[in-house]
Parts: sequence; C-alpha cells; structure tokens
Amino acid sequence: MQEGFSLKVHPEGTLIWFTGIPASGKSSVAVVVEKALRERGLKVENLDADEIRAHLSPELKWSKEDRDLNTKRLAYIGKMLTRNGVFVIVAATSSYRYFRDRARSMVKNFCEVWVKCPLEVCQRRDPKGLYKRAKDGEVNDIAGLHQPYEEPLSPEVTLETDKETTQESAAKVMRKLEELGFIPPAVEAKEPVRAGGEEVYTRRDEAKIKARLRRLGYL
Amino acid sequence: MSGKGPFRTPARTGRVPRSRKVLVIGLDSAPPKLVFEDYLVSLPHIRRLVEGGLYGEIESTIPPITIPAWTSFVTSKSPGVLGFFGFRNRKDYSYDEIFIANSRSIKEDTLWDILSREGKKVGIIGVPQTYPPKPVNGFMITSFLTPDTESEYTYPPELKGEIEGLVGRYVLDVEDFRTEDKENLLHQIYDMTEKRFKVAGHFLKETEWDFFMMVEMGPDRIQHGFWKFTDPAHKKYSPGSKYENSIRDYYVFLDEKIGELLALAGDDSVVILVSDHGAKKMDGCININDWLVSEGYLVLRSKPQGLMRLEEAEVDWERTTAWGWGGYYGRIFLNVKGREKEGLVEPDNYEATQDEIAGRIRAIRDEAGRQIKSRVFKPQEVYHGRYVHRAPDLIVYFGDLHWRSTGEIGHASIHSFETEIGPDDAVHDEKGIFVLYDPRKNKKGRVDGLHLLDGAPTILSLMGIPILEDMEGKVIE
Repeated sequence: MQEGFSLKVHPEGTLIWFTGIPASGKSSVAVVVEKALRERGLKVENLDADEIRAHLSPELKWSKEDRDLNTKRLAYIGKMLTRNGVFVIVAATSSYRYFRDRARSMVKNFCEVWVKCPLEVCQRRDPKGLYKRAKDGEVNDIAGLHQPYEEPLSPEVTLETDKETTQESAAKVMRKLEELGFIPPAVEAKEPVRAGGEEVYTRRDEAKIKARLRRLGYL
Repeated sequence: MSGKGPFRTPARTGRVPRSRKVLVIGLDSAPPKLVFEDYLVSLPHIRRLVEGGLYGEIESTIPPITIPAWTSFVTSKSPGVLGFFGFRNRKDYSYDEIFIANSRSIKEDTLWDILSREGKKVGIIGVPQTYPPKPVNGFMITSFLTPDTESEYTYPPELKGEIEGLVGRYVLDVEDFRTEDKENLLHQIYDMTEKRFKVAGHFLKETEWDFFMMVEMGPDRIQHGFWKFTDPAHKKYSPGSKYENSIRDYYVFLDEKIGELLALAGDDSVVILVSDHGAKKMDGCININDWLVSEGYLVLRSKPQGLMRLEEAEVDWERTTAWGWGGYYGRIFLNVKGREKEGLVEPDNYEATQDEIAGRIRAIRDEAGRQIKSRVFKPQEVYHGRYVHRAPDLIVYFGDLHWRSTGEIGHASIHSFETEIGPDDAVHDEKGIFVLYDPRKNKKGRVDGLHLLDGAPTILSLMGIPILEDMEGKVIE
C-alpha cells in the first residue's frame, strides 16, 4: 500500500499513560478511552499492567527495582507499537516520576494522564481488596500508603475521579488528544443545543435534507 | 487548534498590505462551454466581466459535487483534509450509518471565519454547507441544505423577518424537482432565483460589507431538468420542443440579475464569478450494486423482489467483497477484515482488490457494447490529509461522468435510462467557470491551471489578509 495512506490508522500512534494510586480509577477510564479511540477508526492496544506482568514479567514482584523494570518494559512495548501507528494505553500506578519521564522520552507522542483521587476515596472503593489486605497486615507496599507516590508535576491531563464520572474523565482525555493534535477531531461535532434544550439540528431535520437530496439525485 | 502533533494548524504567513471589497457570485454547476462560448454573446454583464478580467476553466474537487466543492473553494482544503467526500458520508465502518455533511462538519477555517476574526464585514447567502448558521461578523443566510424555512436559516436570527418582509416566502430550493411538469419546475426555478437576487441586492445596498458571497442553485437545477431539450447530442433530444432555449433563456435572465448586483456593488469592487463544477449530458445509469452482484463481489441471501435500496436487501456480508452507492459518481466500499464487522477482504489484499474491481469497472460497456471510458480513483492516490481513511474505497466516474450511478438493487440489467425517482438529463463535469474582474487592473485574458482550492487564497490576498500556511491553493493573479 502506498506510503502516507493508511487504511485504518494515522501515521503516528500515541502512548497514553495513566498514573495514579491503586483504585484511583485508571483502568476504568482507560477502557472508555480505548473504546472511544476505536470508534474513531484508530488502532488501539490497552496494555493491561496485570496481564503484562503475568505474561512478560512473572518473576517481578513489587520492590522499587521490580516496579522500575516493569514500567520500563511497558514503555518499550509502547515505543514499538506507537511507531507503527498504534494508540497504546498503559494504566499503571508508576509511582516515580522518572518511570513516567523515561516512558515520555521513549516515544514521539506521549500523553500523561494523572488519575487523581484522595486516598480515603480509593480505600472506600478498593475494587481488588488491596487496602483491606493492607489493613489486615497482609501487604505493606501500596504506593501512596506505605510507599511514596510522586505526583506528576505537569501531566497533560489531570482527572479528578472523585468529582467526575468515568465518561467525563474519558472525554477530557479525548479532548486533550485532539488539542495536542494526536488524533483528528471527530467529524461530527456534538450538536449544539439551543436555550431550552432543543437541538439545532435534529434527526428530523436531517431526514428532510436527505429526502431533498434524494429527489435531486444526489443520493 | 494548536498543538505539537501531526494534526496541528500551522502558523500564518506574512501580511499582504492592501485591501479590496470582494463580491463573489457563485453559479452552481455553470459549465464553461455554455457561459464562455455558446451563450456569451447574449450575456452582456457576464461578457463585460470576462472581457475585462481574467477567466478560465476551474477544476473541481474529486468528486465534482456541490459538497465538498464549495467548501474546498472557501477553505482551500481538499476532501481528505476536510473529512467529507460528498453530501452523504460514512459515519463509521458499519454498513449503514451515514451522516450528511453540514456546517458542523467543517473543522477548517472558512473565508468568513477568517475575515470575521480580522474584523472584516461579511455577507453570505446560499453557500452550501452553511446550515446550521454560525455567527459571523456580518450576516449569513444558509443554503438549500436547510430543512425548511421554518428552521433558523439566518444569522442573526432576526434577519428572517426582514427577508420574508422583502420577498414573502423565501425559496431555499425547488421543492418538486423530479417532475414531468416542466412548466411548474421552470416557474419554481425562476421564483427561487428572483427572490435570492432580490435579497442579495437588498443586503448589498443596505449593509456594510467587505466580502459578499452568494451562490445560486438555479443553473444546476435547470440543467438537470432541461438539458435533453437543448442538446442535440442527448439521447432523448427531440428538436423543436418549446424548451429548446430554456437554459439559454435562464442564463439571460441570470445575466440581468447579475447586472443589477454589479451596479450595487460599486465601481471599485473586485467581482468573482465562479461555479463549483460543470455539467454535461447524461447518457444513462450504471446500476452499481446489480453490477457488483453480477461480478460476484456482492452476495445476497435472496434475490430482490423488485427494486429496493441496498439497506432493504438481504446482504450476505460474510461473503461480500464490496458494495456501492449511487449518485452522480459511483462509490464503492470494500468489506475489509478487522475494519467492517463481517469483513472479508484481507487488509494485505486491499489494494489488489481495489485494482481488480477498478479493472473490471473500466471494462463496463454501454447497452450496445460500446466502450464508455470509465475512470476509477483510489483514495490513497487522489487524496491526502488526516481523513483519507474515511473516503470510499473506490471513486468511479462511469463513462467519464456521462453515466451516473444508481445504488438501488434488483434491476434487470446493469444499465438503466430513467432514475427511479424521475427524470434527470444532465450530469456533472469536472470543470467549472472562473472569472476575476478587478477594475483597478488591466490584466485580462484566459488563464489555465485554475483549481477551486485557489478560491480562498485569491480572495484573502485581494483583501490584504494573510493566507493560512496550510491552504492548498494558490493566488490567482
């Protein structure tokens, strides 16, 4: 196929890196962003941190060195995929700034998403029972609780998942990707709404225009 | 949009130090042969512009259709950059979701966006793809792609009352185009044109403007409806009809109306006369989906009982390679594995499949077995830009556009000579007209190599406004 033309993807992918303490909502937002990117016809790979660990790094545990190595591997896979036009999503705690900065330096297009959520809220959510296990004394290496979590200094996007719905957070990420020029803007804009909630351009309106175009021989 | 990625908007180039008032009169579908040759002697006002300025044939977009053509003129962006390739476009990679491109689909700056930002006063009337209207520094009346006159078709909204006070019911478009009642059709076309020019004249006189652009759809409508009466080469021509001169008479009427606008525009204004594409006789229709069935590319679970739209037919998608859409040009979509839900074509085989189908299309002959010289374009070869992947997988000019394409399925043959929805005598042609009349300049004569993309840069340059660096056209001078 001719260079510069791609059937399903744009020339350069982007590494979208979600960082935040456990249970902050990284994976939930990532899944919605993944779907939104696919709907725009882009190639997407969501590198699930747990899955990558299980397949590529089963020997790694949770020490700083092991976390270091794991994020390095994730970033490397991201590099290989993005240069082939894939949008790569990583949702990983990645507690240290240099983990994230290293990933940033490895790819052309990088978008750091800080999934910000107060520790108390994360403890209440606790979908994997991690905080409960900490309370029971079974784990003592949770970032943000036992171990440091270095908050991003200038992430591309900051989400506040205790104040936003998952959809709202995902929309923020998509908007930023558009703004950065990493993805083309959606062709169909959100229909503006008049005061009073009535849409300016309704399905009925479009049906009328279609009928006219059909009569005119265009359809 | 600003940013650092590949889809950013680049910075602007230097300022041009002069400013003129520019009036653009758009005549949808006006063909060079009629305007510059056959009728010119009867069109005194247009002749004055042609003889006193630069003129020539202007190349339209691929495809040469109202959308995207006019928007290419006012943005200087080609379809792969704009993201629409006709009125109707695929919304996604499903088999049936479509959207009609409207003003909200335009993500690039139009002339009126740029000029409004620069503080210039604009007046826009009837330019396709302006509905829903957007705020401008001036006013805007939308085009025939407006649901009806109940809709808010003006900016500011109060303008509607002023228009209706002036002409009564404003006519966005002829309402009953597919009619054998030619008398009525003719009446509607004249009524529409009369009203549009009356409104244009009113605002030219009553408002302050730096840039004024109107598009009249009448030429397109009269050509589609009356070509067979006027062209001895048309299959359905029979001499001596009372409509033999209908198209010429209409252009004479248009010329008078244009003369009235020129008088109101002032002696020092630059005038541009332009069409978005041309027109020529229609030879027939190729029933694109019936052809795809006959070639084994489109597989149905059951034979259609009578004519139906493809959406109504039972397509066996798992075994289908390609399907098509009708219109003045043909569009073919491939059913690609991993892209369409029940895709069949292996992505590695994409281009080979394009080539194979294109080759077979070029071999299609007319009902008498004669060559019709169809042309087939691959999007990756004719488009560039961020939206190329949204284009149809093949764009087809059957019989060099003399044959249109029909999407309905269930015809007895691959040729038909009446459209399902009624008569149509003309098709589109790739070349439109362009005239640039600048009373301050002595440059006259025919110019070649013009493209619709040259519209926006030429106008910005005349008005002393910087041309956006990513505009694709050149300045005509």
